[in-house]
Amino acid sequence: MTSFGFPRDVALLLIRAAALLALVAAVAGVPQPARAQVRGEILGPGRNRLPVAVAELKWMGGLVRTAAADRFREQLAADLEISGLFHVIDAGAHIEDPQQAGITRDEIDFDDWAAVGALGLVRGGYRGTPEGLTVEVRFFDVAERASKGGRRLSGETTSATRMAHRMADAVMEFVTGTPGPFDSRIAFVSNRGDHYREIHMYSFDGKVERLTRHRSVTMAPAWHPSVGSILFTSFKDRHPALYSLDLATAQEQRLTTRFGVNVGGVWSPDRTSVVLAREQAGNTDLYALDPGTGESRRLTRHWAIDVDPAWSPDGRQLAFCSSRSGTPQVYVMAAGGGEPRRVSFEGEYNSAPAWSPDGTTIAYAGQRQGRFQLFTVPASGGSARQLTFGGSNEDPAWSPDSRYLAFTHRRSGKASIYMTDVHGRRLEQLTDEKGDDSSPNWSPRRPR
Amino acid sequence: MSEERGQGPPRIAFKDGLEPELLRALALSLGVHIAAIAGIVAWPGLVASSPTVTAPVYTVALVTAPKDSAILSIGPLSKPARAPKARPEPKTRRLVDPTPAPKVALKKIPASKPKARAPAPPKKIRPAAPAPAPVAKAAAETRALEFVSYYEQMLDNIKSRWVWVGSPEEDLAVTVRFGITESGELSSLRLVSTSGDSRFDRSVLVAVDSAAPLGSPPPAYRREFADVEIVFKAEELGRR
Repeated sequence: MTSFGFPRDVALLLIRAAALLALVAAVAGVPQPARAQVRGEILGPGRNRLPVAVAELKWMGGLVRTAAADRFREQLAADLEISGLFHVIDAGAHIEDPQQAGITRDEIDFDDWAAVGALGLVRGGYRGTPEGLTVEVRFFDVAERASKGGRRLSGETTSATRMAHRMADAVMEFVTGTPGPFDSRIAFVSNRGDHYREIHMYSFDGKVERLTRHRSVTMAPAWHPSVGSILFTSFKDRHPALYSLDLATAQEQRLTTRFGVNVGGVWSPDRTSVVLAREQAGNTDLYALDPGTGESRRLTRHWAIDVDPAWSPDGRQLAFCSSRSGTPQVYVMAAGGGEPRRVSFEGEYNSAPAWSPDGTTIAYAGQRQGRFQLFTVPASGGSARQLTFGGSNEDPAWSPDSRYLAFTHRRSGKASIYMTDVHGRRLEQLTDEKGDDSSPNWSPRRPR
Repeated sequence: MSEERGQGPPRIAFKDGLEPELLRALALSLGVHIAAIAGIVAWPGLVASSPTVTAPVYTVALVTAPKDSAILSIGPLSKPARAPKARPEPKTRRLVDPTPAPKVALKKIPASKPKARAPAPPKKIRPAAPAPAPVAKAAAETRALEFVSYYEQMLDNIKSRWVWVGSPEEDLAVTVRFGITESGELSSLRLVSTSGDSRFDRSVLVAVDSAAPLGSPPPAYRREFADVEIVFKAEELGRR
């Protein structure tokens, strides 16, 4: 065994060891992500509002329209602030002289804006025209020193705030990819001015306009998808009937002629029919009405009360409130009728469903401890989430970007229209307390 | 079963005619190689210091990097170094952001300070005190405290700079890696894994970049803080 001076077993052992080592080396040599020595995790951002500076518009020539330009800036800043996505830096802190500095990327001193803590900058100018003004505004990423997009908008001086809403929606799009909701309006019922409940309209510049003078009870306003008219129910002819108000001509048209209780009409997304709740022979069911012919078709047939229809944005389904389980609950069914699927389960009283324009979520009002609160539930089913907690909150209405809900907020006997974001993080009062405001319905975005 | 166990592992059959010198040389050669490989494997610095194999998805321009070296697919985070610009003192007094100061002391941006941070003074993150304890255990505990203190301030500092306006319920996560130099500057900031949402990725890179300089790491842990990896998640605690 040791005839050649080297133990054969030792040689074998060495060879085996070599094979083993080669294997270890091969495994060790496989590229593996080397672990960093220090590792950590950060859950959630430190801030969920982007610090943004909205610079004064620079006069670029033509007529001087300082007041309109200021209104534009102030409204834009107000919209961004109310969005909950931005913290608007006080204009008094701005370093750069807006009338001296340029408005393009190469002319802007981003150091000045970084120094006041801005991560975003809205900067632009205007040209005064005989009719009004033309503004040209861009949104800049201060850290990146780059423009993320801009808009050129023209209008009369009186439409400076409307131009600001459109710019705010654009800034939200530049930052998040989805335009904002501010170039829209909210219809609601209010008894402000006199004691009658009439249809009113709120714009995000704070303006409230009365639309009807029925001197009776009006209720349940609902926008036409074109934003050109509003459906509502009125008792002015002693029997509740459905009316359509054309906003351009102020002409009203009565859509239901038959006696009986017709309430809560909502236009289908394809604009061909109106679904409403109708009481007939002591039973309330949902009907689809063809406004052209006046013909209607019954969608639900149940001894229980079926009310509050709300379309899914694709027009294929309807959410509604029904007492068929013994208590009012939210259900979803096919738009043509059929077996409904219950989507609200907790609580003894859940009503007023509203389907988000992005199709994902249904909001409703649910009674808890004697007061109504807002809830959301995935449209496909799932667990509900409570959004509001203080006061009583009813009549949820989605913003066109599905980010916010407008609703009736009651506290200490006063009712106003409020809005919250879908995460329930922010509550914002929209209408003042000059009347009892309720039943908000948020319009789609306005056509340009 | 017992029979098989008794046989032991299969043996390598040697031919009778194998030259003894050849076998000896082979064994010697193997011995030398084994020793060399064992040395390489056992030597900690050699393996540990091998370059990171994770390819960065993005590279961002670093503050100290020359302008031309910025290889960007998402745009520079930091501006090129600029000459300091004097500003009138009274005006700069008004620059303080009116929002209440966050819990964690943020790096203030002095208005007169150019953002070019070449000679940036190190921030006062817990100066590494010389270990005073005569007892080794106490010294070790002090060092551990220094580590934890610096580590938490680093995370707090970055989090407080992190602005993300998207939904707190989105399932977004991104991993970044960077080093902290002896003076507290960032080095090699890069994304290790992307969230798939370039806005989210960028918000994280801006947060880390703007948190610098982070202050000098404790001397005992300079090496550890030269390689830091942080996972950022959109979800907030208590949500989802």
